[in-house]
Amino acid sequence: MMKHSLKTKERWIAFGFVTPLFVGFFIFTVIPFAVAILYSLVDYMPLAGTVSPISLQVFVSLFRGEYVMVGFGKAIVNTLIIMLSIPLNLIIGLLFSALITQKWFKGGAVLRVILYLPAVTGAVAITLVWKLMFNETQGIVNVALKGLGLIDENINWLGITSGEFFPRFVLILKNVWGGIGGVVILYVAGILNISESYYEAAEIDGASKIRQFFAITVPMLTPITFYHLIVSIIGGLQAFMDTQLLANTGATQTIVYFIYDHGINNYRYGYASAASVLLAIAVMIITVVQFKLSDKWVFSE
Amino acid sequence: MRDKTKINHAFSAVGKTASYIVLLLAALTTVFPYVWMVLASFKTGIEISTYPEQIFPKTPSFTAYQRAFAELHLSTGIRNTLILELFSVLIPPFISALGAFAFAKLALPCRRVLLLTLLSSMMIPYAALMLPQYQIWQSLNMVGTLWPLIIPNFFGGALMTFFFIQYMQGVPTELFEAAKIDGAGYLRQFSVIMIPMVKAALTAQIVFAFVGTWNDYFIPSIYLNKAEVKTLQLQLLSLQQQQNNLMDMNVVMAGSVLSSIPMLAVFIGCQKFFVESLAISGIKG
Repeated sequence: MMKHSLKTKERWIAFGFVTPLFVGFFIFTVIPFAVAILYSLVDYMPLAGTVSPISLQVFVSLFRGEYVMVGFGKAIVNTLIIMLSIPLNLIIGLLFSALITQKWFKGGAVLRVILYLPAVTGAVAITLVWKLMFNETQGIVNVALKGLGLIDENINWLGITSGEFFPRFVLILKNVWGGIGGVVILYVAGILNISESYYEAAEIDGASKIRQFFAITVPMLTPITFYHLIVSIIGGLQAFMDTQLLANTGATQTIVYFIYDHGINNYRYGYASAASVLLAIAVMIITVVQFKLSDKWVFSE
Repeated sequence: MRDKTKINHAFSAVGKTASYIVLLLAALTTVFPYVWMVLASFKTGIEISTYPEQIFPKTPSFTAYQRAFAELHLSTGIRNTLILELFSVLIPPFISALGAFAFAKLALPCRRVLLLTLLSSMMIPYAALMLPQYQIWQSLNMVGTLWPLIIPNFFGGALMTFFFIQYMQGVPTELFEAAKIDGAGYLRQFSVIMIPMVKAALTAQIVFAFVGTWNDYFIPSIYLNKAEVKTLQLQLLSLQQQQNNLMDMNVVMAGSVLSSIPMLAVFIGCQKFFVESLAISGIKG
């Protein structure tokens, strides 16, 4: 009897401890998400105060591009192109980490701190400096490239008059520049965690350093690669700030920018909500698929 | 045989030098925008807008800083950022850790369903919740105040909770059973046994919360639309929006330097914490 009531008490207390989490989840996620789905089905416009009968019309016109600043399809393409920085970050970060952790390498600790700097210090300040550096007429980047004789005409880095390639390139470059440090810290910690005995055994078998890297280091780091992929894909799909503050062009307006522009700037809640619901579904599918596939390539002890 | 080792030696010397050069270049590239920010902040309006721009200011000028001090609401920005820091650093880690404790060590009913619910909430992007949430705060008359950024802290965070669950599962259950026999209540078990056992994880989450709040831009830009509630990042942005001339970019850069100094000082002072916090998040998470 005594034991039974103790168990019941523990259950109630456990419930109490998780209550704030779920109350928050209900108020700030469940209700808003349900409302967003509703808005997308009735093409809600808060200024006009109008709603249409429930239909999937908004979703259809979203893809036909019937109501467009930048089309939704283009926003998806832009977002995915800018996400090319994710594999670049992983590959370059892995290479740097492999070099830093070599026994002969000096200064690894300082280097990690320097590379991590952009992830920590003021995001807005950094974006403003990039804007100055990549300015078309005055920026140091064009001045330097001209001085070196690499270009004749100034490149419009932050607009599209020199081509869609350039603003996208700047955003990818900024993501790599700002993201390498985090990847390096994760990988270095992972490499230092790998038992020395694996490498000793490989050495005895006569495996070269390069072979050791691909046969031991890379597979042992797959849990970190997996973790970073999930976090950065979910983050990459939600990119926004660089579009608004650095290069706001038709080639760089992302999905979240599309949602913001339609919802907050133009009060087209129906369109913004439809786009956001699709984004949420995409994130869910990608996350679930990644977890399902992870058995096939992620190393576990 | 001897020749071969010699070649190997020579090759590895070349390889080592190349590695150092590549990584040195990477470090210089990382630092360059900061150097450029500082250099530009000491230029005069004319220097920064003449073509081609000189790398170094002729004589360092403080006019940009004088104007930045006058036009950037530095103390208001820092005050607002620190108020938000206070709530985001002190509250969510503990609310989340307490929830995680129930998941990891207590007889929580429907544990699996609740865990999956929590997991699903992490997959819904903020953009999908942005407009309805905005309307909630609007109906409460809180747009233009710090409240929409403070109140959600009291409900913890899903990602944080997961992170703690991972850690707490590794803490031996016997410790709590022993405490139970000694008559310790659950809150006491949490604060006296669990918290010290997951100190590293807690520190990591506090560091992340601190950096995240400091750099947060998107959500504050939606709610903090008046000068007196703007955070440091938003004050800097307002400063930039007031300057429409290339000649005034030195002022923007001086503002950027001023707004970066506090975080830079914290980062350099506590670099070990920062690096270690991120490092453990990858290994466990």
